[in-house]
Amino acid sequence: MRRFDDETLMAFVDGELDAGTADAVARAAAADADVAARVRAFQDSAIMVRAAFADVVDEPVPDRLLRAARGTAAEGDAAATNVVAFRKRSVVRQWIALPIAASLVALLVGAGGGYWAGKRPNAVGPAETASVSGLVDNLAGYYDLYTYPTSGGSEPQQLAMADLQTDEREGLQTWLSRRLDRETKVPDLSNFGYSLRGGRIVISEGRPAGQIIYENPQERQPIAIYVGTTNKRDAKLTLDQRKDVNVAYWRREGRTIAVFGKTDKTMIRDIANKVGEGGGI
Amino acid sequence: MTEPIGDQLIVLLPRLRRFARGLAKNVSDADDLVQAACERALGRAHQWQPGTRFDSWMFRIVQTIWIDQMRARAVRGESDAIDPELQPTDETVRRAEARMSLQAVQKAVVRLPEEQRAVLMLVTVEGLSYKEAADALGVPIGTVMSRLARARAAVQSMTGLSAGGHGGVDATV
Repeated sequence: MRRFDDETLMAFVDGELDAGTADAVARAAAADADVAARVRAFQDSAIMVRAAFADVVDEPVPDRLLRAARGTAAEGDAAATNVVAFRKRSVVRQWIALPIAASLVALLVGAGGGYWAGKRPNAVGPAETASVSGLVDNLAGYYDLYTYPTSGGSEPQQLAMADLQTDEREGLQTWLSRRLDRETKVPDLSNFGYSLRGGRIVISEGRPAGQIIYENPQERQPIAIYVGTTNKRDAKLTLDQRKDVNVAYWRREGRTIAVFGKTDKTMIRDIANKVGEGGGI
Repeated sequence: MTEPIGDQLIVLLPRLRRFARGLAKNVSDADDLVQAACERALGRAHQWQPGTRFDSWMFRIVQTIWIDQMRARAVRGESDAIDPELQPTDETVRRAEARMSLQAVQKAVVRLPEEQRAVLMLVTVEGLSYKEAADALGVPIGTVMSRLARARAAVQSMTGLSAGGHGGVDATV
């Protein structure tokens, strides 16, 4: 099989290859796990960088920049104005876009779709458990990091931080799918007494992952669903615990999914079973 | 003279701020950069040709001013410290954040060599093609590709996994 260097694999991810080469890379990635992993590393890095700067465009633009763009900046407004002389250089070129083979990238990106559908997580074939302590440690870490105690009750209560605070599943699905470059569904947990609070993007072992955060209005003890990627085989539902954080996790079709929180183990497991069962929870 | 640009510049401001955020090490430096670019663009609006990409033209102006500022700072011997407001104070939180947050990715980007930052932002964040990025930066496409590949590998290694050629070992789970 042809060998592809890093730049070619990156160009494949970026939709910059001609159709013939892109097709050859797609076939190599389908046949060779090492090629697929390298391709995904380039995908992941782009997704992370894009996600890291995504929110800047939603920030309010400072007045001084609006004035500068309108050409109405006040005198002495700009400390940075004309710090250095503009060097003479032609700045106008003809912009010619290369044809983009984005649809070929979608072959790989879409490969793990439909992860909520299908069988119950604990019915997944050969009984390989998903057990890796790193994930559970990370999830327990997320829990402490992204929740904070609130005062005012007789018992300590916690609230969770979200990048996008929303109670609308569809909006969050769109947001997560766009940030992660992959269709990501948001389960409805209202039957368990949990309402959607929002979502955030986290980095786990150098890969972007989504977290969907829910809260129970009575207990105010958040739980979260983690959706990450993996190239390991499917694995059945596993329960674990770190300090007082309970975690139920499994792998299916290139995804690692986990439900975690300080809620009791039975509830976490029941929610995980429902989530694994598919939509319409 | 600003007629050909009109409202395009105002519409583009959020993206210019984002691009600058990937170059400069803190928010106020980034906004200073955008402000200087706006002023320069209005002064040279006649140089932009209608029908060509206005965003690429502006990215190039931002990049040019930034490179010049970097050189001027280097000549003056100023350090280029990372904004303290980006650093959480609590040690545990800082370690955890460094591992798992998007802020860690932002920090990884601004730690890249200067010439890699701009190409990474233009292609992965702003969605320019390699050719458009090459034109905006005034370098060959091959240079764009090698800088971009190095930048992406570096970002991945700074946030956890190393990119490319790691033999398919999956450390995530």
